[in-house]
Amino acid sequence: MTVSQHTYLLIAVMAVAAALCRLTGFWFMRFIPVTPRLQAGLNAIPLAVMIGIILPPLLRGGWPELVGLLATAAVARLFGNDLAAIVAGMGSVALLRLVG
Amino acid sequence: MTSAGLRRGARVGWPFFASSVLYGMAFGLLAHDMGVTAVEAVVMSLLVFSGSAQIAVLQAWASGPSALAVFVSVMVANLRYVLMGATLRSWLAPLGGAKASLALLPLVDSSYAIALRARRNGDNDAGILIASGFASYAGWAAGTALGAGAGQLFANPKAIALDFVIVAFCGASAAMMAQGLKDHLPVLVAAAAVVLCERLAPGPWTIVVASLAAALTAALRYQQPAPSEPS
Repeated sequence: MTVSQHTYLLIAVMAVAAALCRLTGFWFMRFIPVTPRLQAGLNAIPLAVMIGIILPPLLRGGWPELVGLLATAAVARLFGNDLAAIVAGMGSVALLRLVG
Repeated sequence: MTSAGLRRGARVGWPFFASSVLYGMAFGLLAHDMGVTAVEAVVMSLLVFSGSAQIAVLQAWASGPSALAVFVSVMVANLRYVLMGATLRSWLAPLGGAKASLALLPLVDSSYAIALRARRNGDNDAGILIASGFASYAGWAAGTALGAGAGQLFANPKAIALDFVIVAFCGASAAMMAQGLKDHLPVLVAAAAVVLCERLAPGPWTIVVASLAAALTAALRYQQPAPSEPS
């Protein structure tokens, strides 16, 4: 096998793994009866996913991220505009990283 | 799924197109450094569409990883999508299996957060999930091409806080979802699980561990609604 063929083999393996992850949750739930108890469990996942995305950079990064998140929340609350809130958060994080 | 829904998804998703372009460029540069050709890198981004997994695999590229090792690392990095897909079942099932599967292929953290918010606001159009996911997908592929082609033109996306876009958006989404929450224990358990993972074994499984812990807590604490009094 040539180097290039090997590269494409690995890319194909990666593509299958990624597609499996994106599709199995949906298809698996077809065969599972959703009881109210299971539904209560599923309902708790979205917010937990958000926590799992937000918290690690805060724990690792420290205060630029914390200040950035506060700036985001403040602008979102004051102006009700997501994009402005994200830009404000990015701006303060970039600035604090530059200084820090 | 309607074209109006697709347009709404594209409108909310475009900031993630922009951030994906720049992250794609960083990935393209890494690919270039690892001796992967621009065409191979773009094909990888088009077929895999997973930033964390692609970067992890390419960082191990020089050591000649086996197909099995590559498979396992991509699965681990993307395991969170299994849980996201499970929660999207009730939303996407009306589309039918084939369309729902197509809708799930561009699934990514940002489009999941966008879809959750839309659903909370009473907007159940699957076009939002598809178009906002596709915005990131297109940006990721285009950025990969730019980075792999342009060589060393581009610096560090962290300097302009691009990694913070998803954190900020998910922070705003979390604040919204937490409003009117009846039971706070699952959230606290999720947060504790993240802290524990970060201390003991940080990695892409953090989201999965946190989600399973929260789901288990909520399921265990579920109480059957009291039967209503006969009137």
